[in-house]
This record gives sequence, C-alpha cells and structure tokens, in this order.
Amino acid sequence: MPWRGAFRRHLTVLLLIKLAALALLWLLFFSPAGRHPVDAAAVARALLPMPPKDVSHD
Amino acid sequence: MIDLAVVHLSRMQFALTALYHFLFVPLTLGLSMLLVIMEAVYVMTGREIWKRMTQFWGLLFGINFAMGVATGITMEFQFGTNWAYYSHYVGDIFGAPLAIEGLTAFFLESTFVGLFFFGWERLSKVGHLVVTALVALGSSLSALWILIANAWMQHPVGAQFNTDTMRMELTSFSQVLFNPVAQAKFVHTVAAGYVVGSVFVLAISAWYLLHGRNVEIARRSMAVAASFGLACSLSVVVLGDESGYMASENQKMKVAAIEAEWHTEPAPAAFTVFGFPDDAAHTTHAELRVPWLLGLIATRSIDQPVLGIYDLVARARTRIRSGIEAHAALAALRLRPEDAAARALFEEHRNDLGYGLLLLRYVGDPARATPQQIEAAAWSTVPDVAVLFWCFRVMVGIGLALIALFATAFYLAARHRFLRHRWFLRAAFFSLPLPWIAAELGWVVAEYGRQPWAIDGVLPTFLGVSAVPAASVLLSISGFVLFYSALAVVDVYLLARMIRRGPDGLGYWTE
Repeated sequence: MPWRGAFRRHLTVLLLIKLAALALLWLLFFSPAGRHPVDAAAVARALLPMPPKDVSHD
Repeated sequence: MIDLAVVHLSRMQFALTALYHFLFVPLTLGLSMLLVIMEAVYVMTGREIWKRMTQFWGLLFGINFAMGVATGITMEFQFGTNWAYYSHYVGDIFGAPLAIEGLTAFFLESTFVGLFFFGWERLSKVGHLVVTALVALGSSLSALWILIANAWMQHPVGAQFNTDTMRMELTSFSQVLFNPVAQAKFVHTVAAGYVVGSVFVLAISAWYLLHGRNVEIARRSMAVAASFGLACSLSVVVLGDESGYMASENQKMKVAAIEAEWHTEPAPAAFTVFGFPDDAAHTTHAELRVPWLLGLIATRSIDQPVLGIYDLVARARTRIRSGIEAHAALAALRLRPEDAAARALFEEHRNDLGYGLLLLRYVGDPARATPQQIEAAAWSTVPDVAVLFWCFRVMVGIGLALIALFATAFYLAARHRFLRHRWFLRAAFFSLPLPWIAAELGWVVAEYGRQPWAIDGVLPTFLGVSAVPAASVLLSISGFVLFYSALAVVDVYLLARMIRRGPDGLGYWTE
C-alpha cells in the first residue's frame, strides 16, 4: 500500500514538529530555570510588611 | 513593588484567551442540544432526512468542539504560569471544580463525541440517540463545573483563610456546589449557548434557502432552530434577570456600576436606559430614566433602595479600615502564632482582610496608609462604569432583537412561509454574529465588573499574578495572538467549506 509509507512519513514529521514545539514551550515557561515556586512563605512575603516597606514578589 | 505591567499584561492575556475560547463554547452547548432534538425526531419518525440533518450539523459541531477543547486547555495552564499567587491563595477551592470538570464532564463528552461520529452504523437508533444526548449532557455538565468555579470568584462561600498556610481553604464543598450565584449563572449561560446554536442553524439554513440549496433540510432546520431558539431566548431574559438579582444581593458595586447609579435614590430606584457615564466626574450625562424600573429589577420590591456608588465606596472605606486591623493581626500571627490577642483581633476582622490588601497597591504596610491612600483604595473598588453601562445595554438590546428574530421565524415556520419572505432570510443570515457579541459582552460585564477583585472581597487581582518578567508575558501573548489567529483561519476555512458543500455535497455518510 503506497499510501501507508506516505502516511507514516507525514505522521513522523508531525510528531517531531509537535515534540519540538512542546520542548520549546517547556523551555520557555515550565523549566526549573523559569519556575518560581509559590508557598506560604512566598505569599507571606508578598502580603505582609517587610523591610523595606514595599511589597515584593521575589 | 508590584509590577503593574505584569498585572495588566496577565489580565489582557487571560481576557483575550477567555473571550476567544468562549466563541466556541456556546456553539458547542447549543448545537449539541439541537442535535439531540433532530436525532430524536429521526428515531421517532424513522425519516432519513432527520438523520442527514443530524449528521450535517454534527459535522459542524465536531469542528467547533475541537477548537473549543484546544483553546480551553491553554486557559488552565495560565493559572500556573501567570497567576501562581492566585493559584496558591485560592487553588484549594477553585481547583476542585476544575478537576472534577476534567475528570467527569469533559471525559464523558469527549468519549461520546467519538461514538457520535463513528457509531452510526454500529449502534442501534436509540443507542446512538443516547450517545448524542450524553454528548449534550457532558457539554452542559462541563459548563456547570466551570461556572461553579467562576461563581465562587464572584461570591466566595464555603471557604476560610488559614493563617498558617496563607491561603483560602475549603470548609464546605456543598456551599461551593450549591452557591446560588453558580446556579443562576449556569442556567443563564447554558440558555445563552442554546440561543447561539439556534441562531447558527437559523442563519446557515437561511443562506441555503436564499440560494435555493438543500431546501428540505434547511426548512426543517429553521423550524427546529426557530422554536428552540424562541424558548431559549425568552429563558435567557428571565434567567439573566435572576443572575442580575443575585448580583444585586452579593455584588452591589457591580450592579451600581452597570446602572451608573452614583448616588442612592429613594426606593424604588429609576433605571437609566440611556446616558453617558463620566467616570472622572462621577456623573452620567444626558440620562434617560424610567421611574421604578431599577428598584423592581434589582430588589423585586418598591420599598428597598438600590445602593449608589458613593454609599458603597463609604462602605468599602469602613471595611478597608477593618482590613488594616486584620492585616496587622495576620502579620503578628506570622511572627508568633500563639499570640492570643492577635488571634482574637484577626478573627474579629478576618472578613475584611481582602479590603486591607487593597492598600498594598499604594503602600507597603497598610497600617501606615494615609487617609488619601485609604480614599484611593476605596474608590479603586469601583469598576469602569462607562464600559459596564454600555456592554450591559448592548447585550440586553441584542437579546431583545433575537427574541424578535425567533418570534418572526417561529411565526413563518408555523405557516410554512420562509421562502416567501426573502427579507427575513437575509435578516436571519446577517444576525449570525449577534449572539456571540451578546455572549462576549455578558462575560465582560461579569468579569470586568468584578474588578478590582480576582475573588470578590477576598483577593485583589493585582496580588494574584506570578513573579515573572513583563517580557515573558508579552512573549506569550504574542504567541497566543499568532497561534489563535492561525486557528481562527483554519476554523473559518473548515466551517465555510463544509457549509458551502452543504448536506447534499458532503457525501461523508452513505445511507
């Protein structure tokens, strides 16, 4: 069946494109380098007065 | 300092993606129910034309469903990427209905969508009808859970702030589930979705009749859409009134802003039909008012006042002062959790903590806020009056126009006179965008009207954003605009191609 070969090639290319897109998204938005964990301490730092007075999200 | 650029960009991104997503959701809701009606007629009468109608509209439903899924998933990711503080603060409550939606309604819907398309030759007539009904049920259940989550943002019940974990925690799931705001929002939103589906079928069928194509299918489709649409468009008004009444009970500032009611009037309040609200001058120019109407709509009485913006700002000022106490007590409890005096003070003022947090936009320590900063924070509780005033009126105007459209369609359908009135067919076709505009404006009123709150009275929006650079959010917005634009092109191309071919030209299903 000649269409099967073409179908397999298209499927492979599509999957590779999808994997590359997912890897790029992970790198940009979800990798540990770009991750800022938020926990009770982080929220406390954001909401409660800290020296200096201004609130920080860092 | 809080980076307001990140706040604005994150809000813009969520608004853009939510509004885009909601282009597909109401059509999924509406078409799925229309498919059930059409297929039920097929099962009851055994006439093949009704099967072909179900299959044709089902194909358009399928394209729309896929787009709805693709655009909905990205919104859930944003809670983590752009709204990390929000997710920590209220994720314990907000996350539960979202998870249930995914695990129950969405799985139900997406599983049976496959059977709907591939089960025509494998299932009995009744079996396939049950499948179609389950798809419609899944769509509506999906909307229910999402709206339970959203209603909690409008009217947070069944939760309490925990000073140890620094987050809101669930105290009563049944209160969240049976939140009266959720029930009112659900029926209003789903009925609006049914109207969108009905207008879609009516408009496309009118186009076929104008071109003399697929006449038998188009006439029957128009008759179904006209009767279902008329019932639903009338329901939207009644249920929208209930939703508005809920808002007047729980979100008085939103209602005052929608009505541009700057000052409390003696009961019953007049309704401003037309005018030009001036947010800077706190007044409305060129008002056209109907006596009593607002009082009747908002309070369902003639002896209760509808509070005006000035009085509500005064209330906010009082709550901000109380919130300062709650904030100071919370700070003390974080240092010494066993501090009984701080605990007592916090318990006394805990309901106003959110109002105290409003001051963080102006000062690092609310206890040191000046009277001017308190005044600014109190006025920040007023949403954009002009935007809400006009969005609401355009939405209602479109709703009334659609009732007239469906009533005319119903009359013509009852007398089999569609083909004689080409003016009506043109009007029906050009009405196609109207229900989407109304639905989007409805969400603008609901969400923009909740500002400055992410969770009404609990968490100001500016405190919910992630600690990310503005450039990252700008990058993701650009990505969304490009990707969603491409998706829109594909969607319109696919839908237009299928519609142009029509039920007779598709040949997807053999009979």
